[in-house]
Amino acid sequence: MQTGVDLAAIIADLATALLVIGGGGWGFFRFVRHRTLKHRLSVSVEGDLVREAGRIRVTARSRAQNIGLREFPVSREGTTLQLYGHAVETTEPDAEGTLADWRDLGTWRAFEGRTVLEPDEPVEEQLLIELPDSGYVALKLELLVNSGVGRSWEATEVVVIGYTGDNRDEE
Amino acid sequence: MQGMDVIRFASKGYSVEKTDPEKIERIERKVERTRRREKRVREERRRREQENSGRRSA
Repeated sequence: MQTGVDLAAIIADLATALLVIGGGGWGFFRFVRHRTLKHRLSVSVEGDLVREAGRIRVTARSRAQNIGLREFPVSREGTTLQLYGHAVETTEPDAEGTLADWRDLGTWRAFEGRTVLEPDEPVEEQLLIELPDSGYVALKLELLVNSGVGRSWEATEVVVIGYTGDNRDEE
Repeated sequence: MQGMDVIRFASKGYSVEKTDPEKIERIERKVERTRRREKRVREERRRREQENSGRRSA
């Protein structure tokens, strides 16, 4: 009788150990390997631009959405929309390709007042920026969201002004 | 918007990187510079408006 009880206790201990190990393994793969609780964010910047009577008006819509499963901390420092302009046009016929010489036109805080984004929570902000037209051939917008946990998310868009129409790539 | 050329734009993707404290510092300086410039422009505009209204009433 005693032997039977001992055997049952051993089996129960083994089952408990197996469940603990199995649960730990599942947790490891679910949350560590699959990065379930990693901070994830989707960011974009879009809008439109009007060039008229020596002025350029840019309506910029900054968007971010927490696409992770945990809350996303937004840091005030660094979370900004930056605007640059490129005005130099080379006329040398044999000139080699050069990267645009971006001039800083302004940097504004984005999503100010937001400290946390809950899972799936979107946030959008519109800015109307007006600037004198100094012969820009392209503008560049950079939206940066600093998470405050050591990583930052950045969306960049270059808008060629010489081209009139839709700068969005049609899919 | 009739007669005006409207250019639409939209970013297609984004990148994630380790936060560079120096870059954040640089950006913060730019935010401050922009804020100061906008304040200066607003004050200048207000001053001009006051001058103009003073001239009109004189």
